[in-house]
Formats: sequence, structure tokens, C-alpha cells
Amino acid sequence: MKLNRIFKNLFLLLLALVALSSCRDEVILKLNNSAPAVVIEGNISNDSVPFSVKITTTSDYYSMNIPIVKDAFVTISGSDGTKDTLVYDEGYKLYLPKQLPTYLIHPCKVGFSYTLNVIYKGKTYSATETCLPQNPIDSLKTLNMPKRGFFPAGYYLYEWTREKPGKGDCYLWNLYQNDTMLTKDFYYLEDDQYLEENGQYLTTDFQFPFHLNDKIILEQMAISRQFSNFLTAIQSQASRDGSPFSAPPSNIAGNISNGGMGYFAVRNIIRKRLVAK
Amino acid sequence: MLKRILTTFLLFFTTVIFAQNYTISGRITDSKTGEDLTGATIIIPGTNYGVATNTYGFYSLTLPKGNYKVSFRYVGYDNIEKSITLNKNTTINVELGEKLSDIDEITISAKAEEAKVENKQINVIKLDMQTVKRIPVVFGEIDILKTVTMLPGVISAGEGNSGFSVRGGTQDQNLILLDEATVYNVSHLLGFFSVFNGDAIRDLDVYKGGIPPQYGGRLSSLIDIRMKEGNNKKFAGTGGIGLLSSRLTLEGPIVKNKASFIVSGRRSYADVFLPLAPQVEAKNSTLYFYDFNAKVNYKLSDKDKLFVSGYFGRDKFGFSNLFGNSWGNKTATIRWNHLFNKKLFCNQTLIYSNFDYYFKINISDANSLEFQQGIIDKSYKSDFAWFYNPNNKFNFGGAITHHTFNPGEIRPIGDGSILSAPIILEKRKALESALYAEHEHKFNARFKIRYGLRYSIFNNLGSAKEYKFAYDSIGAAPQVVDTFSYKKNSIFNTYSGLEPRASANYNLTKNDAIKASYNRTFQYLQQAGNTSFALPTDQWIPANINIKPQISDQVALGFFKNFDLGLETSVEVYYKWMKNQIDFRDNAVLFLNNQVYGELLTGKGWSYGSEFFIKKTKGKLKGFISYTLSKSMRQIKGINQYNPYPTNTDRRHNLTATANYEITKKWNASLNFIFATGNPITYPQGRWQYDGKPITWWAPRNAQRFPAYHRMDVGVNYYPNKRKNGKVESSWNFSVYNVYGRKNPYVINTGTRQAKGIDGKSYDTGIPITEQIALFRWIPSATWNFKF
Repeated sequence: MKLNRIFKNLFLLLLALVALSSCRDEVILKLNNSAPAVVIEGNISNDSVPFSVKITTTSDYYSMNIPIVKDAFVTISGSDGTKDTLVYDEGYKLYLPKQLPTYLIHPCKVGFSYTLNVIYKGKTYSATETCLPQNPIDSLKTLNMPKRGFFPAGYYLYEWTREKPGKGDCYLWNLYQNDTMLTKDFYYLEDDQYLEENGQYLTTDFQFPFHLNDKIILEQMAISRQFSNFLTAIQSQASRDGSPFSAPPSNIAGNISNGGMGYFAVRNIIRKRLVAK
Repeated sequence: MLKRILTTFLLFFTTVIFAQNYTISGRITDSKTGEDLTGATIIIPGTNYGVATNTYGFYSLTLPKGNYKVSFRYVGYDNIEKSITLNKNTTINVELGEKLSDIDEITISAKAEEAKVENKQINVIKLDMQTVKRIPVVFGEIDILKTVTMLPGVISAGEGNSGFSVRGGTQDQNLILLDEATVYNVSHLLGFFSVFNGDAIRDLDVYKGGIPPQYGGRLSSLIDIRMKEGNNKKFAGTGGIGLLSSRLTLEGPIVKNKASFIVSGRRSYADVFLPLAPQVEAKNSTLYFYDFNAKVNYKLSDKDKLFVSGYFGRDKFGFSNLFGNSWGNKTATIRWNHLFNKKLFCNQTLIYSNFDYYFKINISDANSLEFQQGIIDKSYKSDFAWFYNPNNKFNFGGAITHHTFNPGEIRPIGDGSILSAPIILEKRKALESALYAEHEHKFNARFKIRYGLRYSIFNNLGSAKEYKFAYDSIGAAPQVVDTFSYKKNSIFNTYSGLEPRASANYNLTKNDAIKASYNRTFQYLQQAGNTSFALPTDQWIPANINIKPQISDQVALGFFKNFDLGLETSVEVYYKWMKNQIDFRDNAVLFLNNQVYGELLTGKGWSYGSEFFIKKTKGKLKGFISYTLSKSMRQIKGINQYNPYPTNTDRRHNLTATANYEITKKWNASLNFIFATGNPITYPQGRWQYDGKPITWWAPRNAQRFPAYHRMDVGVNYYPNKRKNGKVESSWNFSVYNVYGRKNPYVINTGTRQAKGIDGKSYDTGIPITEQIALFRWIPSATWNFKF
């Protein structure tokens, strides 16, 4: 990804060189807009984040409006024998469990799989994911670091863990500074694909400078490889600039069946709080 | 079939048994520079006897005993005629002189021989630098590859891109040889220019099919480029100062008439203008390229000649000390020509070729690392030509190449790097070898055939680690299910194939000929890149247990007709079937991935088309018009729901025209016009949202097209009078590229509209838009060239 950005810079430089003659124009393309398809964004976890499902449809490319589906029939059932029916909530514009505290009764359990079923306009869309084990955090602390190149001086968060044996473990992190989410615009993802040995001792350094006495919350989520690929694809599409150095556009495949788009994800979350010092 | 083969052999033996034959042989060189002349003809007027010199200026003609008048001819040179009595084997070395009084007149009369329809090969176009230099180009930089893209059947990958497609093939299916050495990356400045310096190049042949069995390893084409040899009579220089780069070439004898050298260098100075650019990033940047060609040749004896040539070029791009990029090719060729006897000529060649890409980042102690990848080839070739008699010639030989592929190494710089140890992807090694034989047989004045066979073998060599992949579905991310390790230098996988090649020529009349050809080609390596540009980061990967070699079969049929007015015309049609074509699955991970094979999908491709060519060679107005009507498709499981889709290089229409008009002896004007169907492109068909992020929903691959590409370039060349007693000859070239300022789309971006708020800061409105970037409009240029 980084290299791509470097070539984009080179490309911009070349453009600057031919700036006198090159030009950039907004154009309206004649597009073959397709019939709308269903998009599902389902999230459940072992944590106090409520089960929620958002259902929308695709829209025309130049349209700003994303149509929301309000009349679908939505259920989530688990291999642990749980089953919940979700209903549309006008306030949140999401499908939520009928009784809000249900998630407290049915949080996800490691090793069990959960299936989302959505019936809309006579078509059934479904997806299944498993709740994966976490990587216990050995220790977590902040270190006061001087200015390093692009990184200003500040308190940086370091995490030490021992990587789980076997390949295919994927993690997603959320980071909060005084209750403000820092990882809002991008996904902080990591996987063990390029690690040589199993059970390697890992140091993760989060590249955010904190101030002394900042309240820090770290959420570490064990997610499936497929979900990690999905988020990576979304991320790279967001940074896709259409320059000749971008990969050809490709649609992002999720885990929803029957031509549905989006993803139904199960997250196993650990949450840690500390103060920068 | 068997009967026909027998007939061929009978014909062949009749000449053997009944004639008492002797051979005339020798070398034809340029009287002014001593350089070998390739394609000069040796003709016995009034008979069918005639041959042409090979790349090394060597010819051999075997005739029955008798008295002959022999004519030696070459394009743009005076003819020389000699009378001989042939009663023993004779050596005749001839020096032909360029006629200076009126070059064009001479060109016409001498060209007449070459222009004969019977001497034209189907699928092949020869380009001399004279033609190339008259065509106006962007920034006035003479570029042979840009000229190649104007030929029928060849399609430019786009503006600001040196890549091209031949008869629907991909860019990595072109075999580009510089003095026999493969050039893996032909781009300077990411493709704005090609790596070939026009001053160092003698000539080139473009094979769109009917590739001689001597060559192989790529599916679609052979671009055979030869460097100049250097003047062995006197010291001379040429050079030029242009808008973007300057060049200087020096050549001369080392030992008069025996040994000569040529050195040629070029450097761009675009970076000089960088501080003028408005962007801050531009001001602190490095951006330049240079290249260097050198060649020495030494005549060891009448029978032995040695050549050593090399190319070295590099592109550099960086920003302060924070990061740097650098890439380039190095090639070296050592050749030894030997004449065993009057009829048997051989050529032994050692070749080295290296392409590497280097990248360094040093933004902080923790974030400091360097990255390197590349490919190295070492080859040995042995080629023989046996001039059995005027009607039978045999070519045979073999070649072996050792490839080393370096898929990538990342090393930390200093102690503070986050990278505790280097990450080194294992180098891949392979051997590619071939044996070939070819027979050129002339039945009579009308009918000529050329057929041969190439047997190629590809071995993957250890040490290596290979993976077996499994997928949830076709096109999904790969999962490794098995790993195999192989010992050092063990051959763990082998592919081989027979590649028949054949062509036939039948002359209907003196001015009309029909030609046909068939060829099969194998390609054992390919470039892993999925952007529309060939980036220096796109690594070459060999066929292995996961990827089979690409195979292509092509048939072509052509009709050639000449008119007395100096008009040469031709129509060629072709059909090509391609197997094991590769493409990448959606969202493929290519960079620094030692399991890159898991990201590949394979399928079939096919392309067909017709090519029309009209060339005017006489009079004050000269030039050519070429039109190609073609289609190029692919079908790959896992892409586009297995529906066929047009390849990136598919263009329905491609029309190019170039003309040069001599106004006076001092002034001539030239004009180019190009029209091509727009590139296939994947457009959005809608949008959706996930986690508040807008996501584009794409239509089927390459289902739509850019607007058509067209432009016109104009130029004038001015040759001032040579000053009395002056040694320096100079000329000026002025041109305007894209003279009517057509906004040809270079890229079309999808994004959101940016706007300026009341505070003056720009912000994202979130409104989806599409925008187009057009590159070159009204680019004027001036170049001053000199010669002494």
C-alpha cells in the first residue's frame, strides 16, 4: 500500500511537471446504473456493544441518498442454542433485539458460530461467523518518546503479547483518547501471515502520541480472516485514487449469501483502560 | 503431407547431385563508417539468384560454375557491380557508399530492391532510424518505441506510457532485445520515455508473428533492436540538446579498419524545473534518468569478429532524505562471429541482463528500511547459418538462460528500525533452454517457404519453497494447504514444448504477393502487476507448479501489392489463440508476497484483426497510413463471473498516419495523426455504504470505454547550410504535440467533491463525482542536433 502511495507521489510530481499542459476536469459519465441490491452490516460480540444490523440498498453512483430498508425480517441464531429476532428501530435506524438486554443474556461465546438471516422482498440473505479466541495481553504501557522523524514527541502506547500458534489469526484495534475514538477513519488491522514462527513474542507500537495523563482505552478484537480481508479491501478502496498505479477496481466481497453485499461480523473484544504516564 | 516433404527433399537433392557449385561469400560494410550493413542484397541480375546479408553483414551465395555479373545493393547507398568468373570459392568483401548528392533520389532507387513485394516478410516491419527521427514526438525526445506504436497491429498502452500491445497481447508478452539481451523494463520516468537512446540505435525489426525459431520465450512479439557499431574509419560525434534531455555520442576507430568503439550517453534534466513547481513536495525532490550505451567491435581476422556491447540506465526519484527510489537495467553482450568456411557462419553469444528496483525509506529511526527486488539473466546462445545453395539455407542452434528472480528483500537501516531482522523472500531460480532448426527453401522465383521447429524446456531450480493453495471459492483469498521444500540446484519442475513456425510466400506477379504464416510460442515467465502501468515494482515470476506456461497459436495471411508511383500496400489478417493467460483475482496482494501464485487466476484469451498499411516512399511527400481493426478478449474463471471480457489492450479501431513533406532542401515539415477507440474501463454502476464509508459498486470488468483518443502533432526540421570549412553539421527540430489540444483522458478518477469553506480550508463535501485528467496538450519543443 505504501509503495502505491509513493508512486502516486511520483505521478503527482510528473503531473506538476506537465502542469502547464495537463488538466483536470469534472466529467459526468454515462453509467449503466444497476437495479438496487441489498447491503447488510451486521455486528455482534461478546461485549456490551448491542447486537445491531443495518440494512440498506445500493443507490445510483451520483446519488447522495442511501435508501434504508425498514421492513425486513431479521434473526440471529447461535450454535449455542440462542435465537434472537431483531426489529427495526426508527431512532437508531438499525435492527436491534426486541428486548434490549438480550445481548446480556446471549453474548457470543468463543468457539460457537452465529447465523444471521434476513428476509426481504421474498429473498433470504444469510451469513455465518464463529466467535474466535483472543490473544491475551501480557502487558500494556505508555513510553515517553522523543520526536522521531514524522512522529512528534509524546507518550506512545506499547503492547506485548505472545502470538497464538497457527496461522490465520487477525486482530482489529480501536483506540480512544479521553473518550474520543482515534481509529474512526481507518481500520487498525494486523494479522500473523508474515510471522515466521508460531507463538512469537510480539511488540505492537501504536503510532499515536498521547499527552501525559490522557485516559486511554484500547479495544482488541479477534476477528475472522475473511472479515479482516473485507475491511482491508474497504480501506484500500477508500485510498484508491484512480491513478494508473491503483489496482483495477473490484467489488468487495463480504459473507452475505444470495447476492447481498456487506458483512455480518462476530468480534471477540478485550478492553483495557490506562492513563498515559 | 509425407509426399510433399519428399518432394521438397528431392528438389533439394537434385541441386546437390547435378550441379558443380562454388560459393561467393563475404561481408558488406559501409565505406564511410565501416559498420556492417544488415539486409544488403547480393543479386545476379537477370536470374533468380540473390541473397541478403545477415545481421553481421555476412552473405553467402552458392552458384553453378560460370561467369556472372554480381550486383551489391543497399538502401540509400550506391550499387556496386562486379563481374566474376566463378570456378572456385571466392571471397568478395564490399564497401558500399552512401550517395550524398541527393539522398532521397538514391533512397528511392536503392529502396526499390528492398521494396519488392517478394522481399517483404509477413508479420515483420523494419524501421530505420531515418524514418524514426522524422516523426514528431512529445518534448522532441526521439523514441523508437513510440514509433513502433504507430505500426499496424501495434497499439500503444496509452499516453505517457512506453508499453504497447502487439496483436492483442499484453505488455509482458513482448520480447525486447537490445543486442540480443532482454530488456525487462523499457520505461524511463514511469513510461513517459523509453530507455532506448535514438543516437545509439542502428535499426530494429518488429515481428508481430512468424517469429523465427531462433527466438522464443514471449508470446506476442519480438522487437529486435541493434546498437550502432561505431565508425572504424574516423572519429565522429553526434549529439543534441533538447527540452528535457541532452545526449552525446562519440565513435571512432581503435585500430583503423579493424576495431572501433561507440559510446553514447543521455541525461534528463527535468529536475532542474522542479523548484519552479508550485507544490512543496516537488521542490525537495529528485527526479531524473540517465542512460549509457557502449559498444566495441574488433575484427580478429577475416573469419573472426568480436563484439562487446553494453547498456546501463537508471531512473532516480526521491524526496529529501526521507525516501528514495531507483531502478534500471544493465545489459552486456559478448559476441563472436566465426566463419567456418564460405557457407557456414556461426555466432556465439554470452549475454547478461539485470533489472533491479531499489527503495529506501528513512522517516525516523524506527521507520527506516530498504527494499530491493529484480531479475538477473545469464545466457549463452550458439547460432549457425548454413548457406547451402541459393535456394536452401539452414539456421540452427540453441540457447540456455539461467534466471534468478528476486521477489523482494527488506532490510532495516540502523539499529533503531522497527524491523528487527531483514525479511528476505526466497530467490527463485530457473533454467530456460531451447534447440531450434529452420530451413528456408526457394522452390522457384515465385514460391518460397520457411519452416522450422523450436523445442523449449523450462526447469524450476531449487532451493525453493512452493505452496499448494486451496480456495473457499474461485477468486477468493488463497489458503496454503501444503508446503514443499526443494534442495539447492535440484530440478523440481519441468515444462517443455514444441514450437513449430512456418511461413510461405507466393508471388502472383512482380508486384503482388500472397503470404501466410503459422506460429506457436511458449512463454515461461510473466510480470505480476495489476495496474494499467508497468511499474518497476511489478516483479517477474516464473511458471512453476502452480502456473503453467502461456501458449499461443497464431495464423496470419497477407496480401502485398506495390504500385509504380512508389506506393507499397499490404493487408494482413490474423487470429490468435492463447492458453494459460493470467490475471489477478479481485483485491489481490502482490507486493512482498511469497505466495503470490495464490493470487493468480488463469484462463484463455483470443484476438483477431486485420491490418491495412499504405506507405509512400517516392517524391517530396513521404509517409504511411496504418489502420488496424481488431478485437482482444479473455475468459477467466473467477473474473467477471466467467464471462468473456475485453483485455486492457482491446481497441476496435486504431488509425495512425505520418507524413513528411520536403518543402526545400533546407526545410521539411512533418505531421502525425492518431485515432484510437478508447481504452476499456470499469466504471461504477452504483454505490453503497459500510460503516459510514462510501463504497463504489463496480460494473462488470472493462464493460465500458474511455472516449476515443485522437491527436495531431506537427513539426518542422531545418538543416542550415554547412559553414564553409566548418566541421559541425547541425539541424533544428521544432514541433508541437497535440496541436489542437484534445483532452484525451489519461485517467478517470472516482471520488468526492472538495470545496473551500468560509475559513478558506478545503473540506470534503461527500458528493460523488468523476473527474478526468488529460496529460499532454500543445506541448511545444525545440531540439538542436549536431554532428561532426
